[in-house]
Amino acid sequence: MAIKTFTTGEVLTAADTNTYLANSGLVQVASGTLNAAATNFVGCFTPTYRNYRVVLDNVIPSASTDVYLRYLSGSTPNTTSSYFYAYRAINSAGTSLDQSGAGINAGFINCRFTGSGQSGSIVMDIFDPQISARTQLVNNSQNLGTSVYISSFGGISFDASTVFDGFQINTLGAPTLTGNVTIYGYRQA
Amino acid sequence: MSNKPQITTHYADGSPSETRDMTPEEIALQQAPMEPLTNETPTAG
Repeated sequence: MAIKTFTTGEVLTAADTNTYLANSGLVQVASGTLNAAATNFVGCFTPTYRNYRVVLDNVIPSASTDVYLRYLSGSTPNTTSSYFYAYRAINSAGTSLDQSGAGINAGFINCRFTGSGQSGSIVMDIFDPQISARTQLVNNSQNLGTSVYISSFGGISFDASTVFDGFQINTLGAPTLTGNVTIYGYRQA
Repeated sequence: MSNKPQITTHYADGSPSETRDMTPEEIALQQAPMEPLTNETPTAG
């Protein structure tokens, strides 16, 4: 529902502008670049927001790799066998590339890079990292490789009521990633 | 440049980002749970 409806010729005041800014749907809380095998985003989850959107764009691997996520407490990644994930994936030739895992020490967020020279993007919604409840995540990703495009959707559920204040993007191997990461909080009414 | 895998940390509070070599303990946890995808050029389904 609109906070205010303007009529033709009406002046948009500073007060109105501030009201709209304060009531925007998504509020950027952090950002950073990927430039290593693992990248931590520390302190991006706070009690201010319950749910978050994370956008990874122009993600480029140095070599064949998948992309994983681990939640952080401070700078410490949670590596317990608590990550459950399932993904539907298909490539542009129609071949199914589904993936799943139960009780793994990291969550799979896809991309399915099969070599350098590829680029991908990932969007994730992360639910309740700051609440003593299961932190859950849904995401879509895509990757364009050599004449093959891969698209996937799925999610991760962390099977414990741990409170997290950040996350780590990790190849879980020697390959590195470059790219941009932007983190938004969903404004609460 | 180091041959060890590295880890970068960004801080939401505005503290400077940092990149360092992984510790031996962190390297030990760099184990992908599955084989990487290999069918870049798929056969017709």
